Amino acid sequence: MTLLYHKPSGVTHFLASPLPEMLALLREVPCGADILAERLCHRLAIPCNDEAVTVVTERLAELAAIGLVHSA
Amino acid sequence: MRHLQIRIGPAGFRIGSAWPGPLAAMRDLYAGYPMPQDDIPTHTARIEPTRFWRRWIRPQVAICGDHMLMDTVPMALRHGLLAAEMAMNLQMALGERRFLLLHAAAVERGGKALILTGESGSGKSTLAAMLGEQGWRLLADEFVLIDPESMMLHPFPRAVSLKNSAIPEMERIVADQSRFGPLLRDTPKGHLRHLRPNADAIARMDTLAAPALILFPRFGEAPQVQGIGRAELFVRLTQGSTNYIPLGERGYGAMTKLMTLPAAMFAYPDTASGLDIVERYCAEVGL
Repeated sequence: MTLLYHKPSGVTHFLASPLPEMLALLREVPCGADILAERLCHRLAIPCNDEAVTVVTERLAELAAIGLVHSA
Repeated sequence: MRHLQIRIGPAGFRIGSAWPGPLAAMRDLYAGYPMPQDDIPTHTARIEPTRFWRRWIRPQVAICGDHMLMDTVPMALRHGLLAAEMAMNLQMALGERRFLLLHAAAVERGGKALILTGESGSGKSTLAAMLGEQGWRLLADEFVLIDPESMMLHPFPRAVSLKNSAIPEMERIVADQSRFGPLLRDTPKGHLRHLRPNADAIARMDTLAAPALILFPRFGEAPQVQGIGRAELFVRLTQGSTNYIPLGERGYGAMTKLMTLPAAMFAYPDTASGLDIVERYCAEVGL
């Protein structure tokens, strides 16, 4: 579990895997859901398939909804 | 309106009452407490009638002050002392911004503080009051004040609120009966009696302590001890803090530092076994 304090809203978030890993990868190099899914699977040493892309897409949308990421 | 001014640790209170009775009880309960620093209160609490005629006709006590909550249920005048205490609580809970507030009791030994926290009825006040008579210094009941920068605990030794079975337990071990407030029967929390901390706790209210251990007691169950994960510790402490959110990043920083302290939960069937478990935990962490 990772704790994250969001300065603009003052909200504290509890992030479970893979959200901290996704944020870390986006901080290194911003990218879209498809590429992020590939990079995440590579980092976690798991095969990248359609399910992984779906999960990453949905989690990204959740992160965007609470203001932790935004689309360029 | 009549007034009383007292200082409890860093908080200077100006307490106003439309009736003389509750204020006289407060004066007795807080006998020996100093005046606010430079005579300037930091918090103003009041108890006053809900409507002007309610001062005389079937008196109803409203809890007021600098900070107010809508829909606070008015109380009977015979519980006026409790209403005044609740008005002080409200000002601390909603108005205090210098410190991170934890809903907890605390005691000190050798400069290190044990924080007892948990829900109402968990026995934290009783355990802290007992420890305060057995070689520990009572630092706080109800509110523990943590300086977010230094992480030191600032004592706030206000009167301990004893409930139900804790009342006769403390009456047996505190020799000076003048330290007790009047017995308030049938309050929303049952029978209630306040206990003024001992002279040492009041005299040393400006001597800070370093938080060293956080315990979550749970009264009324078979003895059981268990650890607590960091995530659960964070959630429980923030749930019990009335000003974590308004403090913003200062509160977050302080709370994440508190999470590094040793912490545990335990259940206990009676005060004696609770005290025994507390001392064993304290021995483990050198407190």
